[in-house]
Amino acid sequence: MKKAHIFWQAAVVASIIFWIGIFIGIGVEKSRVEKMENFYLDSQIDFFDFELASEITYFYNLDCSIVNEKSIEFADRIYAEALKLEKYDDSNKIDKEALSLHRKYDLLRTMLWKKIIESKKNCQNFSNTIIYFYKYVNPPLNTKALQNTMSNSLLDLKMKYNKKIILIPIAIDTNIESLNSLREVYGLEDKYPMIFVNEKFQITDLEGMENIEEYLN
Amino acid sequence: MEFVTIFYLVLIFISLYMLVFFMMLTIKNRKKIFYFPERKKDYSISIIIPAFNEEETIEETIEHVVNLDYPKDKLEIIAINDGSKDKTKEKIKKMMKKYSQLRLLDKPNSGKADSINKGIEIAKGELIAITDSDSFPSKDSLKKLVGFFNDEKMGAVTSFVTVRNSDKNLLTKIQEIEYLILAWSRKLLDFVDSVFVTNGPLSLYRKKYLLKVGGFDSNTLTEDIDVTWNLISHNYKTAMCLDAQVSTVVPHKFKEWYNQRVRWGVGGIQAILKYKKHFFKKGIFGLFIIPFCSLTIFLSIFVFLFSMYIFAKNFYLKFLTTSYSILNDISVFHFQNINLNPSTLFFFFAVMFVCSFIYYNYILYKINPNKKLTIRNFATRFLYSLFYLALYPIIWFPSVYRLIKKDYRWR
Repeated sequence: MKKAHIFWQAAVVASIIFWIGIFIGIGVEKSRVEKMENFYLDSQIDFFDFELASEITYFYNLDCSIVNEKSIEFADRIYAEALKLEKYDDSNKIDKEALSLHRKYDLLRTMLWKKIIESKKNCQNFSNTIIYFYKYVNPPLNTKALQNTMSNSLLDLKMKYNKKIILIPIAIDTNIESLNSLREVYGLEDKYPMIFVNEKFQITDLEGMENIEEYLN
Repeated sequence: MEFVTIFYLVLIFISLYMLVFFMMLTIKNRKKIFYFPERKKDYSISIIIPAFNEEETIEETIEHVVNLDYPKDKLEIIAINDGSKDKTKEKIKKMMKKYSQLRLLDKPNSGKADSINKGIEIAKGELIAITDSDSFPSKDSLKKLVGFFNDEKMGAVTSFVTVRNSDKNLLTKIQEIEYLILAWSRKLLDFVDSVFVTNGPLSLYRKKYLLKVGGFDSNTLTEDIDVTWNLISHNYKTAMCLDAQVSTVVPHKFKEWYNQRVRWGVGGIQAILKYKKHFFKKGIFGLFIIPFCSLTIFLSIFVFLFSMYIFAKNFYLKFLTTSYSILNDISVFHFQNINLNPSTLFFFFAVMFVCSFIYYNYILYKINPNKKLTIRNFATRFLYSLFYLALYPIIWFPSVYRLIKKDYRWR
């Protein structure tokens, strides 16, 4: 056999190129996760700030509109970050660290929701809250299509009402115990995707979405 | 890591390995690509031209064969009429009046392989050249092939097939690119003793070795692959000369092309099944040729099915989302949904595609440096790389079906 060693040489060269590619890929994916981690840290600080601001407001009987505005700003910010995280999650194929980050964000969103529920008790004329519960871990194709459509519909609604709506998407299957408790408190159906408006109205299908505007204050 | 990701990474590695393998062969042998040894002996050669219903081209093929640059006293030409229903026989007879060295073997139709075997039986030459009756060897092709037989173990040498009717339409233009790239890769495989097919348009065989391995198998649809594998499995060498050209007419209609490719597909699988006992046995045949051909077929089918599954899944998801949105008067699309973050896998595929495309263009330039690179040529090459190669695996499905149904008709 002439030049049989070329098979091994090609294997070595291909392996080197392959692993360089993999390491670059891991590097790029890690940098995305790191970027999101930094966003998360900022969001966490913002959340503490929002929490403290709302406590000061109640303690000193200050104007509730500040808390309302802060909560909208914060919710909008983590909503934008959620969209970004979904995209990174879709693109990250090798490094799946995004899953734990997703849990952290879901926890933060749950904390925000709980804080808003408290704020609503103390403040009148608070913005509408729309909590969007969806399946994150391998949803069936039909559910995914329904989620995509509902998500687009909520985006339309948010663009239309802007500051009048606090939109919080939360994944229901990332094992957040506090979220499960809240769902139990409100007696939420075990059917997802679901839109929960102002802690009163549950929407689980697209037909129900037509009436969503009627549930808003 | 998900199974799909692992599968893609394995696939990327195999493709990368093949690309690196061929590129390294190119770099290492760049000065020997067009090399052919000078012949040390004027072998007597019998040129066999099997013909079935080839009245349109047989005369021109004979003209080309008669005018080959090789000592006339060493050449014998045998045209075989394999029970043609047209005027092939009459045309050969007409040419016999013009050229005394031409002989006719007229026989009832029994297929190409059997016709060649009958030709070998009456041939007097030490070497047997076989040329299809719709192919046209260049004047110096034969003498360039003969030098390879200086090596006593050489069993067969094949030539470089070019497309004669490439200007006919897009299909023939794409086939021209395909033939050039195949010829180049076949030559590269020669440097690792792995020329696994000696083509029908022009190949030269050592008669005594052909007889030792039992000639051409008439039970297979691709007798050229079969005889090559038979020779290699008997430890005879095969080679390819990129400087010995023969032009051929390729199918210009889709149906003809499809039938030809399905026939090649059936023949390829037949060969793998026939020689399966050599799998992973010591030597280039068992360790490279059979696994390489099998893996190519298996991966083509598997990757195609898998890609179709992913495509169908995404298409169904888009279809459902769009229909839900339309039915409920919801925006079908939001700019926020566009993902501009490429995944590592996509990046790998893109880099592989670009590297392969550059390599293809390099091959085409080296083979035909005078061909101008027009936008149209470039677009055809792009079509070949992106669509033709991606859709080609479809051919394997009817091939497998015909094999299962034992439909071995020559179509």
